Amino acid sequence: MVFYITFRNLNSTGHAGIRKKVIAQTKALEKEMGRAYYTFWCNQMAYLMHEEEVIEQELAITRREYGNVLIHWIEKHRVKRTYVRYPLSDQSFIDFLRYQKEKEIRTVLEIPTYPYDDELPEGRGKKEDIYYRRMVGEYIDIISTYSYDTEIWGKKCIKLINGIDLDKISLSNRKKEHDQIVMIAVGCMEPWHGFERLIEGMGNYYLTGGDRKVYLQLVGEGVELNRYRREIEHFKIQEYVEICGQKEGDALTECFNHSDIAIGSLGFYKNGITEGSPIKGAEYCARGLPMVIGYTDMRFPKDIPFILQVSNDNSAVNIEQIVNFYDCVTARKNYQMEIQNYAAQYLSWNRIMKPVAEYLKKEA
Amino acid sequence: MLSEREEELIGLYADEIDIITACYEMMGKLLDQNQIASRIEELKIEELYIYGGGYLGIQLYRAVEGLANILSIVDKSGGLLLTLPDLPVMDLDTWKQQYKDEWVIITPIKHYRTIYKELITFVPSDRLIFLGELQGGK
Repeated sequence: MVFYITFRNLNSTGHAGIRKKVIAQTKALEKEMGRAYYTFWCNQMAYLMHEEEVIEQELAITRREYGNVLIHWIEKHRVKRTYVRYPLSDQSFIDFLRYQKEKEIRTVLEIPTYPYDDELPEGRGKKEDIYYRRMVGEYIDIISTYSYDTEIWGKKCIKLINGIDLDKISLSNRKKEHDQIVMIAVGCMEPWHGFERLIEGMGNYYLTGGDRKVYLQLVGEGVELNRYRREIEHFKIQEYVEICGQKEGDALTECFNHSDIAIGSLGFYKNGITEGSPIKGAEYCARGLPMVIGYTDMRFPKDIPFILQVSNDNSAVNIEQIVNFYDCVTARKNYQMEIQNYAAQYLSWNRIMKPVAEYLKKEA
Repeated sequence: MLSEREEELIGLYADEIDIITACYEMMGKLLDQNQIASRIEELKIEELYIYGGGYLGIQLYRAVEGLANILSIVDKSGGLLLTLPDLPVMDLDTWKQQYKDEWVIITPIKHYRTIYKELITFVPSDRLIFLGELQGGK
């Protein structure tokens, strides 16, 4: 039995992508190691889950109580292996890791973003993490991460990339229309998405007489959405931008089926990050959509034809460049299949999680 | 490094902050009428008592009003934290005498466990839920 432990509220709308990812990673571990459950913490309740089925639920008011519930479940289900998504360190997290070490539970700690200090707001949480994370290395043996780091906090790293559960994603059925291009940008609308660069670019494009109709669908909700609304009005491009709100399942697929190009993160520069492999990129690839990104994506070779990498700064995105890129990609026969095949070959979670499973399978 | 006493103190502060944060978040989530309505429907709650006459109990009353029949707020003291004459409230002993297996939602976060232990002696376990479970969506 393996537990994939998260400390997040995977039920919140802003964490839909993380939830999908956790479920897919858990399935990949299950394939290699037998029964695997994942946990999350929502509204002061701890949940132990298998896909969408609730296995256990228990009250956990504080983070310390959540840790205690996890320990209770680990003992009840005789868990000997865990995969822990790093929640930032504090006293109770260190106590939890200490418990695992004492009980000889073999564990891999996933750090989803590294370095992450620039992403954190100043305050107690950040200070607490800086103080307590010095102790993390004492209680874990190995870290998995999505950066190029080979060692973090003195521990060896397993390098991961964000993948996709191909069983759950269908190829976009969009057919090319010569007189218009529809872009789609999906996310929880955080500053690091940087979609304001795209909005400004569209404003410039139409101001300078861009003749091909270029539309944008913004899918998701979050702190930046009001800013985007204001900018859309400012650039007077309301008729070209649709704010779709949060979409999941069939409704999300429907949005993708109306889209020609997907927009990845354009604001990594705000956090001082230049490379990464955000969850969304893998989904775009599995949907067979060409992509525009503002960072170096570690999952793809530099010269891959279906990705347009724009600068990693605050400049407006050049829409004319996107139009040319789109024409170039769509001139290739079966380009959607070609993109999806890349996802199938390189981005499946079963393949990505294999080294983690191999490590966890070893005798303690 | 911090001493054991300092560690203990920090631990207590962290727990208190978690509780205050939880109260704040739950209070805010009670403003999401659609979510509350969908949960009331999903759980098939027709009649209920709200346990706790504090801010969360009162806020829950306002959120559920019209969605289900709220029989009363119950509070050990027999009163509410605010003076609101239109809200029915009764003390624990009076309530015990008239309780007949209706739903009970416990709102005080900090004392949830103590309250749960007391109520589970006469409230069926499938009728006794914590506010977080009502909001949870699982």
